[in-house]
Amino acid sequence: MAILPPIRGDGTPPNRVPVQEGVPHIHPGGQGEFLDKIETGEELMEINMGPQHPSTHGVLRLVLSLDGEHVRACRPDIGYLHTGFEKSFESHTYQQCIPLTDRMDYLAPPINNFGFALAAEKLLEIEIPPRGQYIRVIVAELSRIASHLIWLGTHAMDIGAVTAFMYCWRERDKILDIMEWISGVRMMTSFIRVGGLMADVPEEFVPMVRAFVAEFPKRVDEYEGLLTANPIFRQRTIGLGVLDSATAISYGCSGATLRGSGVPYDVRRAMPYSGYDQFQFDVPVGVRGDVYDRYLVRVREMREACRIVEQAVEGLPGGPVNTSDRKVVLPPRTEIDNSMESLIHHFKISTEGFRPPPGRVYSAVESARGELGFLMISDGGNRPYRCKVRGPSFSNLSALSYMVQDELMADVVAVIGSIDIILGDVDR
Amino acid sequence: MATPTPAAPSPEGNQSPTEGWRAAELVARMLPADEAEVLVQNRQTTVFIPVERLLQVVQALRDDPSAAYEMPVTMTCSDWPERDLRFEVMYVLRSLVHNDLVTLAVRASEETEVPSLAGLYPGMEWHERECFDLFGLRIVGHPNLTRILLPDDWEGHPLRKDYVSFGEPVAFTHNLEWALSPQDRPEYLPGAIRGSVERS
Repeated sequence: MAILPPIRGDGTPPNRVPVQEGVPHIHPGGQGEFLDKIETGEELMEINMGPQHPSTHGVLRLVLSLDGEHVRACRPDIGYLHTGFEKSFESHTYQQCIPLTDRMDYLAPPINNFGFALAAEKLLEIEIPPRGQYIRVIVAELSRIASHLIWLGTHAMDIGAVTAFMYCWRERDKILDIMEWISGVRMMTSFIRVGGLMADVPEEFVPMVRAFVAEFPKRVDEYEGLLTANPIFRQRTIGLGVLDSATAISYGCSGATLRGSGVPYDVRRAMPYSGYDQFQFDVPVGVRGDVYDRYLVRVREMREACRIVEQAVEGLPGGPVNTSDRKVVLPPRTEIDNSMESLIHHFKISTEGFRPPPGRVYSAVESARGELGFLMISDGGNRPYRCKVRGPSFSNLSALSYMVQDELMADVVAVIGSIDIILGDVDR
Repeated sequence: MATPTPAAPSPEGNQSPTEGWRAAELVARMLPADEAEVLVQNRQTTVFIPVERLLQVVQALRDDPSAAYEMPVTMTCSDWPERDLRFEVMYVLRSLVHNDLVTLAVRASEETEVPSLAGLYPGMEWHERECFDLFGLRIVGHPNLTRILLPDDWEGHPLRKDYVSFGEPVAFTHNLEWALSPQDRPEYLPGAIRGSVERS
């Protein structure tokens, strides 16, 4: 049993300085820059939230100016996870950049591979065969579901509903099993490469995905049964963190953060890539633009992603998965034995990679968090001259100060959860 | 490399129009022909404009209903140190109404004062801070121009091409003389005799 310190006669614990009339209260450690301080004139208290706060979903630090319990100003401080990917890209060949992209949005790595590969393929002016495109779509949508599951679990847990977290983890594990089966790695798969895929999928892939797709909608019903009509969850989220559509657009928000505000903008629909225009799916939008709407949009998105996977698996064409351009993708092993040219291509690709023609391209994909853009500039060399990554979380997070203005401090946690940031995506 | 006229959409509609032709048309109406340069690559339009026209053009692109580029997608920069104006600052803007995307570019040197677009698009504020942080771009009129990703006391701007990112000294016990300046060397090392740097 813990030994409690003795209590003073007036009931205050001994380690607390008694409040005196007319003397501003200074925290014992208040000499630091951002430690608790009360500015006597404005009565605003500045406190730190993070970077080690569990509900900031990584290393995000918020400097909150509080008036009582109300947030009057919020200053996000980012960069704790800055890894310099954009500088690293410039010293790696295009194919070597793929594993780097895995580490940006680390909850949906295949979508990052996807975005990078598409941008490089636009520079190279190549297209990959339909089977490769379909498998890319399946893998991307499965990882979108996996990412949304983590979001749902942690968001619900931030608000106090712990059960959903365990359920979500269970479903996500099945997706990771599929990823492991096709690529050998559970999370950082590097499965989607420039010019195609790491390899064709094994024959067990289709039954595994079919089994998952058949089961998953019932699981979403389960999560919704826990949360959607839950009065505590609704009280914590409805009307909180409202972001109107014009503001959301002017901040460059995308993904469910923008669609929750009623703007039906989805990169898969606006600029279809990799055969997304062949699939039937809806783009769910919200009405009020609050935390609850963003929750509803993401849950609907999981169902839509499941629909896309179902269609892609049923219509999965045969044939090769990689482009036939031998200057980009390694030739098959049997060809190397018979053809001198293949041997040379193999040697050239292995030693120095490929060289896209000089040019620039902006290519975007819809990641689990929004528009993931790659602005890639080639100077004709075998490495990107410049590759800017437009992380969706970066723009979404910049609207946080607007959303938490004059909200309660305890609700900041719910708002952060609702924009679903990944700090690897923010800081890059 | 430059295409003199923007590619207009083909009326037959058998091929999708080049992205960003609306912006190219609007800029062609606004600026004299020798000031704007339109570059079409990979079916995407990049419009180069002089830096002193930036605010005027962006405001028109945002507010003119024929363009309506109301969404700031991103802003970035690329460094070409061999050129006189070494930075190419690129603004990617999107129109949700017309489902269109354009890249607006200005050329700048280290001394050029690039006006901030944070007043037009609040979302540009962080992107501009990132460009200031990683490229050392001089942005004027910004509400809070501080480093965003790197620590405030960081020296240099890493995404410049002349910033060497490799070969930074790492201090080990065997190379302290090489890796650390004299004032940074610890007075003693674990396992070493106090006052001496070298292991005996």
